[in-house]
Amino acid sequence: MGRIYAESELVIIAAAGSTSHYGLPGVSSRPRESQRTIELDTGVHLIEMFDTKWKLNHSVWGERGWTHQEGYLATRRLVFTDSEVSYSCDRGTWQESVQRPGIDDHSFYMKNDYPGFPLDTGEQSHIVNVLSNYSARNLSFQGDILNACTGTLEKLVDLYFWGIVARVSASTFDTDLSLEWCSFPYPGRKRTNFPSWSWVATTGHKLIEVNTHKVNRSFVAEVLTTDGRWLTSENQVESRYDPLPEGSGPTLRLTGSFYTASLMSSKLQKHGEEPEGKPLVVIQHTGATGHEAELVLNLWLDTELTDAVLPDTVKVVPLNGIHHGRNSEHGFIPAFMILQAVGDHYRRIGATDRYCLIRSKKTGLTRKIGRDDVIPRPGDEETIYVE
Amino acid sequence: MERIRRPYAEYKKAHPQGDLCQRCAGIDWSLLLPSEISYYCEDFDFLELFSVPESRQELRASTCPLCLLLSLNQDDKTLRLFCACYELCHLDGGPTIPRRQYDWTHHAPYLDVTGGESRFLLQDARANTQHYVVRKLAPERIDYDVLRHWLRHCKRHHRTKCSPNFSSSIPGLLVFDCKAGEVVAAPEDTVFPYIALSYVWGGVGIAPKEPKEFPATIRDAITVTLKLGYRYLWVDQLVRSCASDGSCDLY
Repeated sequence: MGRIYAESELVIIAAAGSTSHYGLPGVSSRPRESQRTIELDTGVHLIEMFDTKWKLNHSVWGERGWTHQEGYLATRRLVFTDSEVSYSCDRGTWQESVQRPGIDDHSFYMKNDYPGFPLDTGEQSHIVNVLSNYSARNLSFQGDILNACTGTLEKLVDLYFWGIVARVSASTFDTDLSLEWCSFPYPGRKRTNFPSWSWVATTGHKLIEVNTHKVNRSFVAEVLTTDGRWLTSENQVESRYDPLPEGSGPTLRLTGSFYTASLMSSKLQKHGEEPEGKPLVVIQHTGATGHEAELVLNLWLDTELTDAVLPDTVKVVPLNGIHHGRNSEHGFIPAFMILQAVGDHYRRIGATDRYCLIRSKKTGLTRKIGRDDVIPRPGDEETIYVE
Repeated sequence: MERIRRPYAEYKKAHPQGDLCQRCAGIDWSLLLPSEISYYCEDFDFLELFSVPESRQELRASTCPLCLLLSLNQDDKTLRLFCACYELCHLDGGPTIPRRQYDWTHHAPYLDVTGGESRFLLQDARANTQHYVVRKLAPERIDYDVLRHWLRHCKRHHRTKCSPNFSSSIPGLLVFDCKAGEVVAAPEDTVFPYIALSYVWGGVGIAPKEPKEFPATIRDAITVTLKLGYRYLWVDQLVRSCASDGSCDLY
């Protein structure tokens, strides 16, 4: 289906109304909303200029899953909203109401920064925005989550496994799973038959980071191939996106050093900080001076959990750039992926944000992690499997 | 900043019937027009015009048209003037042209009173002005000349970037022939320009067979296709209806 949109001369985007009976405003019976104007002074008018990006973000068209790649794969788009018609190609945007000789003559365009359309620049932040925008969209059939964005992923990046980016472009050496994402601001609902370590495994908006640097990682990540081998992203050349058979077990193998931590669901009161209802991940830590302390991190759950099913202990995987030495940034440390044991392997249940507190065991006092605080050492090297 | 203020009496003298309140009339708006503003602020992120301490309800009760507009955005307690020129990019220069060169004729000052939904541009409506940016649209009528101009310009100037990638023809592709009013098979050996419709079904309906029974969005898309000088339109609903009687492929 994606090809039909990619190879068309132009894609008409109906971004007004919520059904196909609404029509394209301005074409036949349904008029557009008129621009509000005020005369402020003689010859001085205040006139409304609609924002195409805002209209798209707030349209039913922009909330649906399948329409994302229809707009993304197109090379020229004619967008019909309740206010006006606009045109977006891969270079920029024009609006029906915005007409200035100065622009046309000098090849000026309005910036196209709607995350459902491709940008000329190919920036990493663009990939993040596109995937995050897509993750928030609704699907009638939850199993379509990967099929409905395969075309987008193919156009956007070079290598990916179940939606997790592994290489941005063919011209880069950076190839590794970009495992950092979280459900934000709310946990989602589980989608069956997808790896728990991919953002496609739960519904709802995600914050997705793209970082395929291998350099600072303390583990090796391997993905299960269709023929049953475990290969690093570097050694796999084919993207993979097909949903997995029911109960297919682990698909990710991690070899490295990880932390074991406990989960706390109680609210941690600290002066000047707002307590949050989120569970907390607590990593035990003996500082350089032998002083016992705990690292306390917010856990952003992938799916809603009741206290009854929250495990006591979790496996904590540092995602990027943990150095077992001095912390580099005041108040923050890199994010962790949080895994729960399921039989002989693990399942991802969430991720921490980068905000980190240290609580002294002796005094019970809590403070932000400092620039010179020592990061605890992880456990011995081991190999774990994640479903 | 003080230079752009004026006494209320001055406003009332010029506009005895003017309905701006004392606060909103205290700005000499003509000095903020694109042609003038560069003298006052050559290089600005935003200008703070005045504070808006009133609640939304209080603003809504005002007879001043600008206060009524300000009632749309309850959060912002300060009215600021921004410049829309930063929204522009240049085809060749990328987004890194020096600020001074951003040019929407000179500047395009606007007020953000809706919190992002739209902007309100200060527009020079004097005779013979060269500085207008936004034009008033006819709500019930689309100017197809403008749409055709965009398409022509893009096809002529962005040939490599924006042209669809015809790798090979799509086997079994069916399209709606807007002139003949029927579904036809796309030829497989030639480049076959068609327009595709991206829309929301909104509930499951029975795919119609007759053009006059098509949902409004599809009927309007057929009109647009013809107005732009094209003949073929791809709509999933239409070609699927063909599939449902067993004589055609899914495409």
